[in-house]
Amino acid sequence: MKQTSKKIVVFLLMVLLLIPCISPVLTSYAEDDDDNTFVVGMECNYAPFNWTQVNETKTSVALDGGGYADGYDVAIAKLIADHLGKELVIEKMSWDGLEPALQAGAIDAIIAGMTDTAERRQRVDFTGTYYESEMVLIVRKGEELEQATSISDFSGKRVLGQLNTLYDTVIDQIPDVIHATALEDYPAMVMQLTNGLVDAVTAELPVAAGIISTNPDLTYVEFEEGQGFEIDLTDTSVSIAVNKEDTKLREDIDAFLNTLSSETRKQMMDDAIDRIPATITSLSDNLFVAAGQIFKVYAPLFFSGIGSTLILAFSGTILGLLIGLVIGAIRAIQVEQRDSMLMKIVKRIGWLLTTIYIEVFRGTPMMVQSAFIYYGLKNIVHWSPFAAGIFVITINTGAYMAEIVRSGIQSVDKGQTEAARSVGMNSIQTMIYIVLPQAIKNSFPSIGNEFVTNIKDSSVLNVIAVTELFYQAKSVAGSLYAFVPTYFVVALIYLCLTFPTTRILNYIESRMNRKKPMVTQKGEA
Amino acid sequence: MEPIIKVEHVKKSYGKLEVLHDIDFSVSKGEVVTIIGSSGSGKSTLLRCLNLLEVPNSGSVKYHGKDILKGEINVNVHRSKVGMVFQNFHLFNNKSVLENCIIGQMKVLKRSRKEATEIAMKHLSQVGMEKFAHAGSTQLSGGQKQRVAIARALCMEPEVLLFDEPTSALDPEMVEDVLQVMKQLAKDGLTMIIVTHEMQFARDVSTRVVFMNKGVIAEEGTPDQIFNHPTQERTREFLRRYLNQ
Repeated sequence: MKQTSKKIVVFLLMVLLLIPCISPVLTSYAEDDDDNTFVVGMECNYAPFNWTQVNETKTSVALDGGGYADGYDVAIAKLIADHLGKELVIEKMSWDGLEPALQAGAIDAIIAGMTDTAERRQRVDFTGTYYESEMVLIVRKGEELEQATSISDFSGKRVLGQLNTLYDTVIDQIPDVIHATALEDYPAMVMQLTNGLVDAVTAELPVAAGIISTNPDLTYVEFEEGQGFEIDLTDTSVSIAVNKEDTKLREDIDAFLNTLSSETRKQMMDDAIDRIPATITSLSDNLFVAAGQIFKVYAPLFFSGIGSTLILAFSGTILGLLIGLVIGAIRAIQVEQRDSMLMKIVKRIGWLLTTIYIEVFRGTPMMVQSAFIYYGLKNIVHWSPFAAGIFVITINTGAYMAEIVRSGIQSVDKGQTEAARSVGMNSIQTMIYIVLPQAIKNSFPSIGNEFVTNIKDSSVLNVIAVTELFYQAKSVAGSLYAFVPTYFVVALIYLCLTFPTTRILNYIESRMNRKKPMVTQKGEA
Repeated sequence: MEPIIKVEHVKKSYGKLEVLHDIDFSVSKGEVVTIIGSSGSGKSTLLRCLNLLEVPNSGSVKYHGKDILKGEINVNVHRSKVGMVFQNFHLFNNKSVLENCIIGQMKVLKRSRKEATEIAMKHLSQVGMEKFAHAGSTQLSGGQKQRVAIARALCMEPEVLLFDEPTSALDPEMVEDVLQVMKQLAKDGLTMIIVTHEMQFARDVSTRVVFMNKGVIAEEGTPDQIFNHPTQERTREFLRRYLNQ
């Protein structure tokens, strides 16, 4: 029994040791309930309302993971922050991440061209409108549809709208339409239109104007009264979403919006459309040349993404290995005949709990884990997406490492344990000084492989807006409307990270297995 | 004199197979006991029961009168006083020769690295392996490994040293090196229990020979009694087969 309690104490100590490794990351994040900041969430991918750019301008606001946000929403957010006397912080996140982030208190408001609907009101509150527009259809220039005057001209055509928005649901008002599967953001939707996969894309007027300003091959069609979509005027106006409990903020913002005339708003929108960075016109048709152009312009974003990806992969692998060593060692302890009843139960429970942990984290996608854990614990730990990302990749890797370590332990000759026990070392000393070092050496190839896997798989953390390499690539592709060359660049970058890593790991492995030079001696057989 | 280790009524079985039937055995200071017998007679199992690498199903294992199975003394303390040398050496693969000899001293006896190193070097010279102190333990020949394993056990300054067929896995030309070391230890008065097939060695160094057969101690006595005047037919039978080989 004495040895049992010792084992438990050592295990707890190891767990405690892990906490300080992670906690600096957790606590370094400026908490959002800081009273001096006004934190606004937006996609930064919905010009002219909001977009990401590489260069700092007078109107732009710096983003956390590199790059700058600008657009009509940014301009409005700035004015509101000034009105509130707070510092503006912009959090770039995916459309579907906005409402959960607001509910969880990660952001103070959503200013993202969001329409006030009864369905959304169940979760968040809305201010009055801050922009009114009308709904149009974007089509390819020079085609028959350019002349359309009524939505019925789109019968039998493929029409595409944005996922989870009114712009998707209204499509069914077109008789006999082929309703294309909705996509998450406009850059991807425009891509489908320019590639001829769909014939039209629904959009509100300023968005359409913004898209056309950077896509000379496209245009949009408006409809006469009664010929367009049947929608409430309020359906095409956009409002600012705030947390339901934050009535004070809603009232403050409403008071400010009332002072903003519709002429001022229109002027601000026109200015925003003019500011949209036009880069696509200069992009080469040659994939390699275009990739070069993109890398040159967006190098700062890519490098910031590479940095984050490497930090995630490295810390995830190291911390995951520590978890794996503890869990793997627990799982290597076998239930023995001479154990007391209590010890048998403790060992069985340990086995059961670690099995659940391993099966859950190996049996579900890391993308789902990250979304679940990030939003689920948001209210309790107040963490940044990056801290959550490190946490998720760590426990995910830990589950794989546990099995790697366990099979590593099983590969160590039983005689090693017997020899250590026979000099009087206890089971924990035996594990730490004799078995684990050999187990790690035996499983080094698998451990190194986890690091390479993490370099690639950390890309799924983009769903919780961790600004790693793939996330940066997505926003570059989005602001350029150039998917193929951008993802080509990113594929090359990933290859540049994984290929040398694999070589280095192979080299270390061969060094480890090389025998030390024989000691020279005289008169010995 | 009170025995260092005393086992009484020890039974050990693996599933339905009973390997040891009700064994009584003890060893006192200064004795060199060799255990002989054919394969499967239970001699290695008995040896491994003495330091609890195998736990008997029933019976008692006492160290200076304290029952280990009843928890009257911690098994790790007992093991630190009872060294063991294995047939397949089992040097720690992740450690150098010197480290093999000091890890137990530092972790179990809480000696300083300096003190442990001095003691380790002393015992490595004793087995003629001091020149290999910094070699990796996986690069040695079998005979060298076994001598290091003996030094590792000696570093713990054990009261008894158990040898489990220490020369069976060695090439013939290495056997003599190891037996020489063991003979010297016997001469120096170390208490030893040796499971072996080396009959000449058993005859030369033992103070007592134990013959095991089918899980029981069939006969024991001085080398002269066992090898020259065995009383049991099965002992004679065993020796006849062995000496004719």
